Amino acid sequence: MLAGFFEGLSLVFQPLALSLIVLGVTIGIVMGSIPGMTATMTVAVLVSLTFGMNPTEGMMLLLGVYGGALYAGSIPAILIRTPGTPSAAATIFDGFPLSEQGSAGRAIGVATVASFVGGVVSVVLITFLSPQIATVALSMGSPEYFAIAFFGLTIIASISGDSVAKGMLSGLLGMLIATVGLDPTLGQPRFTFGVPELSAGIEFIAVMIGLFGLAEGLDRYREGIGSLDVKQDVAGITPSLSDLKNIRNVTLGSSVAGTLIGAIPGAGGDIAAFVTYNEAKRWVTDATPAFGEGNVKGVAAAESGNNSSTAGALVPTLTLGIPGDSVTAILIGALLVHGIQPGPGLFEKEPGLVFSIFIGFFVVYVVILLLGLLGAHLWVRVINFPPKYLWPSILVFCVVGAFALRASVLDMWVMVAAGVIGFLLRMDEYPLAPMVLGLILGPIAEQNLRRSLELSNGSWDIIYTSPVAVAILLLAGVSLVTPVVLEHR
Amino acid sequence: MKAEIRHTDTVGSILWLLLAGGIFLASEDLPVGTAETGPAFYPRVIAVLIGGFALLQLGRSVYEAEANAHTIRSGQVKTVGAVAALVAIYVLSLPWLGFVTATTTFLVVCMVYSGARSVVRIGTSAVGVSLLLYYLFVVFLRVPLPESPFIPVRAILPGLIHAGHGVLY
Repeated sequence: MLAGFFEGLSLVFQPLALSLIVLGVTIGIVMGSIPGMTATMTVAVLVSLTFGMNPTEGMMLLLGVYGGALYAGSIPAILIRTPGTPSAAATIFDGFPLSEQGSAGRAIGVATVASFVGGVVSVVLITFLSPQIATVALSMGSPEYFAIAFFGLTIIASISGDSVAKGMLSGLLGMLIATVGLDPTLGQPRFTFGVPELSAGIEFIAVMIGLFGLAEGLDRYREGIGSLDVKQDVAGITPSLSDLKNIRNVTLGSSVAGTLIGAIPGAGGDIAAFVTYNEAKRWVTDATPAFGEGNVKGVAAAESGNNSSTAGALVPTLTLGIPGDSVTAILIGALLVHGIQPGPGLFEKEPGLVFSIFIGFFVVYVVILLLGLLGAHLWVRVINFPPKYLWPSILVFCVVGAFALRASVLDMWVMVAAGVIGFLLRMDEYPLAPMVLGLILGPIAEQNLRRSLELSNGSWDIIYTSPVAVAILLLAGVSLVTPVVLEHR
Repeated sequence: MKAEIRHTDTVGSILWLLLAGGIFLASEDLPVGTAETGPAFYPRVIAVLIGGFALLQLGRSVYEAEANAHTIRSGQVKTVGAVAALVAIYVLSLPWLGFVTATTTFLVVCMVYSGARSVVRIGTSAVGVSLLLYYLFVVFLRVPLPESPFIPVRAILPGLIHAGHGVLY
């Protein structure tokens, strides 16, 4: 572990890797400051930039974008009551009242520090936790892996929003798309319809770019891409000592809670922020002013909660190969492009890469603190960037990103089709995150189920005679049934 | 002009059921393989599950006399349709016009359609973004982008481009 840590250090503290972190954070903050530019969309359209880099450099850029965008979502939330990313929705409750009272700078300063603490605390926690989980996971065989993948798939039910059926259908569509190509066991072409290029399967990243880039763009055009005009300037960004003392406990508690929430597959920053905000509201009984009326503790709880969930989401991603949220699903895709399979084996095969991701993410939050406090005046201006110039450029990025995967025209059409289908599904209130889980976990579930059945000559005993597999399957049953019960209560 | 699309869940459920049936049909030719887990096994499990959840949704939409309806304005349909068509035309044109020409043209048209009117800003943004991405991908990252067989952009652009080896013909 120690050797991996030092290898990670040497990989991150290279001029190029550090520059990519700063570049990624800057891009992330710029994009996250613009309402409607989610962290997922930004990472999805920029992932193509990493194809020509080595895996560590690519991860540094994407982690910078991820952290930067998630942090910057708080800026428009505070200033114009519009979250830059869904994760910043809870920041509005106290951030916007502070802005109305003329304390926008104070709110942004607190949000910046809380984001930094949230990110750093969660990175430290996962650095110690992840190797232990990976060690346990390494001792598992195909039946247990099938159970884990099945458990991940059942999470679909819990992130399905209002309708479990719609979430499941979205997830199953993702699993179906993933079956196109060569059968993983016998190598037979499946659903290729005579198109040779389809034998290699449908590029997962192209689908992601379509779902989160093009579909988002089409939705923006449907709503109308009007310009915003924010004239408010911000002052007094560096938080005072009394504010720092005031938010200390709330920030640390929310950071730990956010990390744990983020580690649950499918539970992203928005859920973490709402939970930590509500918990802070419940625990702090003598809040003055009250929560919702401009209390800095509210801003700190929401921001430390959502930023700590980012590193938390890396736990299932790196240890089990199950994405913690939509962004980490794209990170899995980016690693797969480089021939690296996330999962417990990653800690043995690429310890340097794993620790470079942890260390890199730590550095990302240090850069966020610096750029957030020093550049706040600039980021406030970014909100006004005219969408009529921005969105056409993002559409170009979507197309280029899909093509750059493997220089294939087919991938561009896959991206367009995924974008249009994603847009139509969104219109009818189908969640898209389950489709991503289905795309990633579907093949893992199939391979391990079929391998298990081959080992047992077709007997399902192999699944239910494994205590670990049974325990995980029971958990899966609970996660599947609970939302259905809650939906009908 | 506004239009209300009713029974979207009912229609959606029927489409999902058709998809489930389609999967069964398409997997008919797949070999069974060893034991019972041939290439058709898993897609059929997915098809059964799709069918099951589609029926669940259909039953719910009928039982609850589905209130799910969407109001859409014709302007929205036109805008989304136009942007999707522009992207499709852009994708079609890339292998013929090459990245720089197709991207610059797409950006100009899309920016004008999005409401931009300043010729200088449109021109500089479109050409700037196209060239920036071209140099970034082809020269810096060595990721190939489409090159036109008719428009010799590579010969026109300054010598820096010749450092790149990733141009696709």
